[in-house]
Amino acid sequence: MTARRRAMLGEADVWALLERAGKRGPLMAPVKRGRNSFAFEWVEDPGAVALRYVRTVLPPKRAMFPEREAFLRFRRPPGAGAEAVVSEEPYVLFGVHPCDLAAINQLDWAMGRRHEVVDPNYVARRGAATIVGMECLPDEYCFCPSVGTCDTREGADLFLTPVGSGYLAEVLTGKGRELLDGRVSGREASSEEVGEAEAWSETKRRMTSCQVDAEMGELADLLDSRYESQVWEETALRCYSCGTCTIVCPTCFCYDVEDRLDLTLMSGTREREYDSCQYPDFALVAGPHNFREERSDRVRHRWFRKFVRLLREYGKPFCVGCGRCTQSCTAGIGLTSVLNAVIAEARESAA
Amino acid sequence: MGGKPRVAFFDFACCEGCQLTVLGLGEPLIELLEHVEVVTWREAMSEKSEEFEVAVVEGSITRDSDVPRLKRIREQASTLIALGSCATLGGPHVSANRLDQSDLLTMVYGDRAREFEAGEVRPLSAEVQVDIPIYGCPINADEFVSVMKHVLLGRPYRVPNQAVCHECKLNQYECVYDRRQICLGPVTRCGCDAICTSRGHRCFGCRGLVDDPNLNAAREVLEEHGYRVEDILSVFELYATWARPEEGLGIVEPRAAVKSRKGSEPWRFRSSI
Repeated sequence: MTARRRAMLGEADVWALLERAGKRGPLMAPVKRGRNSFAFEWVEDPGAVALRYVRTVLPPKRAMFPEREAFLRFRRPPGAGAEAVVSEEPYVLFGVHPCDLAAINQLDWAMGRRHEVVDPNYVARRGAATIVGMECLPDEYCFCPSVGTCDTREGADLFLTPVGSGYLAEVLTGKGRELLDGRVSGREASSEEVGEAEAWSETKRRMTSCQVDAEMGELADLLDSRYESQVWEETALRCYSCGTCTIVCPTCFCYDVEDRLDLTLMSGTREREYDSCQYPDFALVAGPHNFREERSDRVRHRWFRKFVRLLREYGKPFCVGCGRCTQSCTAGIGLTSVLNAVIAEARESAA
Repeated sequence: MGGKPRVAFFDFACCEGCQLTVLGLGEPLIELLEHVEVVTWREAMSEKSEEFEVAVVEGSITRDSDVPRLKRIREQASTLIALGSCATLGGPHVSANRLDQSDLLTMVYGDRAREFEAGEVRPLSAEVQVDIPIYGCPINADEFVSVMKHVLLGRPYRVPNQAVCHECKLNQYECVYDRRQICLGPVTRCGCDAICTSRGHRCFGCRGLVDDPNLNAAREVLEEHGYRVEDILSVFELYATWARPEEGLGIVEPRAAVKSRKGSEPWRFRSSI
């Protein structure tokens, strides 16, 4: 067949697509991990891929920004030489929900365009990706409509929406066309089927039960006015500073760097690993001085980072409403709960 | 030092499982021996020497008569590494400190109790300065190798100070709380690569508490999971007794901060976890 912009695929076609993607090169996709948890993993067996899931423990950013990554091989003593470690091997990232697509777009900016110096590993891995998006339904933690990410297609090369017993495939880029082209059968979607796919957006809005009580445009100023809010202190009494909220966040991009020597002690690798602004040592500098020693300072920093500073720089909040932080907080701290408490205070004090 | 640094292994009250972990390293141990000379290691060899630069000490101090030996080791060593939970935290037997000493001796030795000596169980740091603590019950073999590399290069070793949740999440293990069980991961020092939660267990806290644990949160969360106040301390008893978590948990002193804010929980996502 010749690929059409909107093709109807049967479920068997989607499995065939996965099979083909897996044969072509590395394939990262969601798989079931625990009793009720999912994870984006490099899959050997495309049959293990979960077509339906709500959220994964770590977001799909790990395909292009792995949680642990060696990026330099070096020899001792200094000056003896070093080589950058960058992988440009093409791969397919399958099953990315709209919120996570939005997060990848934000990381494209943060790692590739925000500063003059780009993150070469991220940019290379991002360029090597063919991304297949997948429509989803929210659970009680999701709030994508509030942050405007629930209809995201940008960033995907191909996007699948479950319709009837099959999937409506939107071909969004040349890479997406190439992934489908000629190998997977399919037929032109009918106008009813297109309509059914488009109705998902409204369904998602209706099903979402938590929200942010402000427009994104007013958020930064509202928070800014409550820098001294008691909410930060009260949240800190309950916060472990375990860093889970930021480690699982699809838009967080902080990392720590460490040199690991081989046992020859003459060569080694420079590696990075996700770091968190919630860790007590995160803002520890020479002196020693720690400019966010208090737990409440770190708590506040997280909301200010996402909804004040980066919102002003990027134009959108650095939060995509995926609900991972709230769902995985063992202390039950809700991202929207804290945000709304501060918003309410700000409105009250302005009134 | 001149030549290879000389390393000596010693043990006090322990199961010697951490030294066994080092012995079980395999190839990395052989590679390490390219860089160091092991001069004393009762568990592994018969030779002995009083001259060494690096002392690796497993076990806790339980008898006053052990103290002079530990002090001699400290005087000789330019670097003293405390190996495992017993040496760093007192070990599981630190919970004996909660019992009456003479009852304890009778319980264990019966009629012959008077022939034995026992005292407060304590980590090495209660008696001497420890340069590098390697936590864990048992230790993580990879961390031992990493510490040795730092010692060999004269670089400061950064002891992990994140919670176990850090490594648990990096490995994408299902959260123990999502299985409706409790876990000490959020207040326990990582470095184990979340080995217990990888096998479906909870974290028992064997690496001790992080430097600044939020025990107020721990108590509230445990209470919300059905633990009675009197049971909460027992959750921490196994490894955290020496750190005296009672105060942080609000079990000996009323928690003023929490009292004043009841009814105001702006952070709470749902009414119960």
